[in-house]
Amino acid sequence: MWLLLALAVEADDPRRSRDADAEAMRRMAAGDGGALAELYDRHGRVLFSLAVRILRDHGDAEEAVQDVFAQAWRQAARYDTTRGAVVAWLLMMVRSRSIDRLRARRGQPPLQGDHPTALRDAADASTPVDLAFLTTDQIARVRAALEDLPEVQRAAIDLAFHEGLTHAEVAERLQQPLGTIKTRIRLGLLRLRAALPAHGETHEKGEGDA
Amino acid sequence: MTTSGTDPRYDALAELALGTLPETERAALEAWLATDPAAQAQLRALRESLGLLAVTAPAVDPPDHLRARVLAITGQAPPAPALVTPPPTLPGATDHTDHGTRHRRATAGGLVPWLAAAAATLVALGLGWQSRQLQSEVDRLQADLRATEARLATTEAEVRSNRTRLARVQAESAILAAADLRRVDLAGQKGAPRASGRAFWSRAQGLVFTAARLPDLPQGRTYQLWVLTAGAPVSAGLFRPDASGGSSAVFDTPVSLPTPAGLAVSIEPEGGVPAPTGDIVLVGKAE
Repeated sequence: MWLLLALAVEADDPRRSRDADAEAMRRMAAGDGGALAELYDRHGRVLFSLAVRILRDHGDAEEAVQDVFAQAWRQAARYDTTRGAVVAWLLMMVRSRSIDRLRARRGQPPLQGDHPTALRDAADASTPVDLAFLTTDQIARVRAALEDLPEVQRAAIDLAFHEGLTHAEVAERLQQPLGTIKTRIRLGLLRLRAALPAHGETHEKGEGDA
Repeated sequence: MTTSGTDPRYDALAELALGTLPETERAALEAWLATDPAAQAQLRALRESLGLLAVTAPAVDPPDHLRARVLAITGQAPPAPALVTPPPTLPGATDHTDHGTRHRRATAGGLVPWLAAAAATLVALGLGWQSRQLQSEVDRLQADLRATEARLATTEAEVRSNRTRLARVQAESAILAAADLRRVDLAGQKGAPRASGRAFWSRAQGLVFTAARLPDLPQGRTYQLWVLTAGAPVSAGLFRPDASGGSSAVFDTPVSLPTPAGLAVSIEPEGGVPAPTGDIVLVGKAE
């Protein structure tokens, strides 16, 4: 229900928002602080929400979001705006920064893949699903797809995505064979995407498909 | 996608997307990825899924001061918040104009250091006492917070452990209660005559598998469970026995799986293989 309330205000023209994000990145590259403010005003809430979901601490979440905007500000000149939605890049950076903090807080070693060419790359790489185009209804569908997963599968995805556990750590936590966990995480993630119509279809056309 | 159900490299793509792929597996996976369009498509799909997962977090409004903190990064005077009422959770389209920041930066830039110096002097002169009071209050609150965090961590650990147990029991009972349940008894083969196993399979629910008296695995090897069908064997997954040689696990099997004629367990290289290569330890026909 929170989702419906939170998303009651839908983007009236998401395409314009996406172009505006790319334009804001270009202006940030030129040193325009107003462009960073725009980006924050558009996406600060969804980024903060993700950081809170992972860190369960508002103070830490604030720092993670601040770090990410600092990185976006510094890297704006190098960001290739044709690679994908800026918001997707910001979201993946918030996740990786939050997980860095979470693992450090628990005394766990940083993720093995967490070095400049792995997790950071994943964050920097394009995320072709256009998060800027998502409607309330589509997010509700993704959420429903998540709820529909068997409990073990949902738990595995939650541990991997929100708790930042490696697949081996997830397998240990859930007392399941590693191979099973790996397959469950992959297939479960794909189910989320399958909840939305394929590319190029409008949401109306995609009704009932999945 | 026909091979994606059994090729373990597809599963490793999810680890790559999540940033958790072990370094040792990275080079091989990237080499494959560079040449295989199906793998590239799968990685794209997985990244899309992660983006979708990211936006399903329950919405929380950031505090007002976060905006000022973020904008302080630029070292420029912050522009007024965009007039969005209420702010959209997702990228919404709001019309933004250049708030004349460049112009304002030129004039505000010279004043800021003076204002900061003046503020610092005021604090030093008049507010020293008040700041000590505040500091002790902050110390007290921080101590409270640490105690609360410790309690929360304990509770969270309990919840996680209960959730894990519940998840496993639910998966097992769903399979065992399935209307289309089939049983397979597995007998030990040459290398492991004392080993035995039993499995229950349901097309809709998956596979519960238990085994006993399995031999210890050699270094770098794993047990892999195979579904024997009219065609090639299909991997159900990997498992390791406990110290006593016992194992109990739940496996997802694809709904499209042909009805199993039987099951087999073989010893394979760590990480599993797409088709069986090693010694068969257990085998059994479906009833």
